[in-house]
Amino acid sequence: MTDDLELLSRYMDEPDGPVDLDVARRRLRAAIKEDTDQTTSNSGTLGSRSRKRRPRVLAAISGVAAALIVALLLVVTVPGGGQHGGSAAAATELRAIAGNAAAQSAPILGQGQLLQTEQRVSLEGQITQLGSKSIPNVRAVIDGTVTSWTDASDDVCVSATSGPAQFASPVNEAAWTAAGLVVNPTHQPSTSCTSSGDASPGGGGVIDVTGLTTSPPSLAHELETGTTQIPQLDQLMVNNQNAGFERAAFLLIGPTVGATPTFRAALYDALADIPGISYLGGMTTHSGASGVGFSFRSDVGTSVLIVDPSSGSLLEAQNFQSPLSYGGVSASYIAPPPTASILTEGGSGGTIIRWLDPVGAPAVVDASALPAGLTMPTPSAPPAQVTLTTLAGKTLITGAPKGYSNSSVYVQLCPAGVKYEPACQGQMTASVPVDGSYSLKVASGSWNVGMYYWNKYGQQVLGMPVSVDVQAGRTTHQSVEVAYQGPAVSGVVTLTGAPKGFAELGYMGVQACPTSVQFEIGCAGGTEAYESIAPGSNFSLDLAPGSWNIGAYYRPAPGVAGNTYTGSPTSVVTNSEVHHVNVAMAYQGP
Amino acid sequence: MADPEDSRTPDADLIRLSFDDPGQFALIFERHAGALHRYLSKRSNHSNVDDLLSDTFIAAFRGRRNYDLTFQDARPWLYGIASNTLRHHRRSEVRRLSHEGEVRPENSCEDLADRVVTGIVERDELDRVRRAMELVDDRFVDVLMLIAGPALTYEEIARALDIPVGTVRSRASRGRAQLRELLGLTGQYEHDGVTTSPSQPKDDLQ
Repeated sequence: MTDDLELLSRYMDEPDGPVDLDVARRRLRAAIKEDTDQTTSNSGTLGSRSRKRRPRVLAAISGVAAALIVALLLVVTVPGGGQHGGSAAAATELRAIAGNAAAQSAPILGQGQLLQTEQRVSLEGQITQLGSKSIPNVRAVIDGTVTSWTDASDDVCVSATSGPAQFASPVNEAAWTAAGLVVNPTHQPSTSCTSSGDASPGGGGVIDVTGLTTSPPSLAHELETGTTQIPQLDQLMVNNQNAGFERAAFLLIGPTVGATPTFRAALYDALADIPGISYLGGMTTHSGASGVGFSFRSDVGTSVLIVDPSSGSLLEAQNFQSPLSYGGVSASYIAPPPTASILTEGGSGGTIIRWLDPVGAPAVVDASALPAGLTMPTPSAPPAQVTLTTLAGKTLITGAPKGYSNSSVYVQLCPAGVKYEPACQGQMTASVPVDGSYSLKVASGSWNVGMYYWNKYGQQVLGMPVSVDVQAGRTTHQSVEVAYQGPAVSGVVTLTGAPKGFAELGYMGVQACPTSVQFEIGCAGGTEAYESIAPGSNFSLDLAPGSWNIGAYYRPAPGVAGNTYTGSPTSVVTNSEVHHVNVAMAYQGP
Repeated sequence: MADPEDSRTPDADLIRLSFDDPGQFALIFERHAGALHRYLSKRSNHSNVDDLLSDTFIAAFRGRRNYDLTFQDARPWLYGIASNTLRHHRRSEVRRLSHEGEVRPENSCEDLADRVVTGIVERDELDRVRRAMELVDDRFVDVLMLIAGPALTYEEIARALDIPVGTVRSRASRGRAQLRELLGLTGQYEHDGVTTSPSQPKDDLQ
């Protein structure tokens, strides 16, 4: 028997005579030219205006614009298979670099001495959603420098200075301001100091690598699977199956504490074990340094590392998704309340490191080199030896639809007595399965353990935590769960006056349309439910937060074209809660 | 300059480049225009296809900054725009022709079963498919053609048409049931591992 889809595929593939794309090509080129001319013209206008107000910034913008194009071209022209070699060539080079990195000697810091490192960085910041509203064009390039000082105890101070937001067009600038962001960053430089005992896990921009394995295969596995137990690393690109390269890159970018030559050698050896890395041969950085390049293509683009093969020093990182806390630069661009912004409304966005160059080699300096106002944390008493115990159990999102999956589900542990929230000074897992298990190494004591997830609208759904006493040396079992929230609207749909047997022959559906468009079956941006819906049955619709009109329709019999819609739609404003809306219709005949 | 024929350069990178260098978007056209032309030619009469293709790519170009760069393959996005463009064209066409009294709005009631018996018994198999597809519900046609033409996955179609994946599965199932009925194909077929009879289009396959 011929399959219907096979027939349809043959029909779709059947050529319809000669294909002439010239008309469409010409029209698109005209649109591109118009856009290019407009951008050039706008740039001129912006330039003229800026020239009067901030001539020095204008020069910076031109340089950055050129650099942006160069950087992106570099990124996309990187051959996937490796111009100079694929994974095998990359592995060979990386292992050689690992050998050289191991031979490096770590600088020895005397009393009152600090190790100073400096990085130039060019970021692209973007906000895509403010509150429940998608916002286009909120995008800017931000250049800055990040300087860090580390003492002999691995305490770290960081100072980040970022420049004005730079825009590709006035449209971007207007959107940026409208989203509650400022052009000139506040509180410059942004500074912070972290005691070695307070370095990650627990937040901040400093990553403590002293607890990481130096076994290359194990390290490669932990980086690829996001199981390093360092939240900044494990949460990085958590939805991406191929984030090992990115996670390793951030250990090179730092700032880190505890990155000994042995660890850096293990890191390069681990990179050699991660498949898919291409060797790019000799490359030059934005700062003019020469090294060898390695690239990796993930779901979000191609990232590149340029390193000094003789020492394993990082020379440049290109096109990496930035951790949220990177350098604290992005928070400096958010206008303070009461201006509506991502700070007050919530929302989402991201930062991409276009490129990052360490400036020179790390230098040993006196404590006097620390900028005024910054003080290295006073050495704290060595922490008491803590024996960690395993806390494990099942995870479950109750009430989730069949087949529901989510890669943003976490188990969160907070000490008893503090507010239970994902931001507490406790511990969290990497993402866990919707219906699976978790395991954490924790100190003995009383904890509250619970679970939360991010739904597809970026809303955090937090469950009720459970109290648990963890006793040293004894594995504790505690299952956690959170109730699925959604769909946004549910109710009963009724059809009065329908002929007997309608449910077997005809069918019904419930349509939701954004209030911003005309209510109609199949409306733009709408969604509908028509699975197993019959007179008197329940319906449910999963809706994004916002204003919706809900109505129902029926089709009298299979094979009869046209839907019949009766009644007026019901308006509902949705949030993360479930709303109940009953929809009634009167049958009007086929 | 990125090579348009280099399939290793993801669409997302080209679109991202086009933010600052609009000319890069021409590479997206060269890469996908042929397939989209074929798709549109199956969804419309030949005299409209050039306009539809132009409108699709111009809309895509103007909306490129809204493209979600986490998706490397731009096809679902482009086919979604093409489907919207088709819908707009059809509404305009129906409005225009209705005013002129030349045509009924589409989806007017018609006994498809009769058409199956009397009208679609033709020699050319593919012509039969064409005629049948003209009678399948419009919402199902979008899904069926995106499965059979560019071979998008359910998830990609959901993204393209901005509808839940469950709805895609359901429309695919119902559309196939209608198509099989119109083509006079009998028997059962498998959909996601579930056997369905075309005489029971009210499915519950999600």
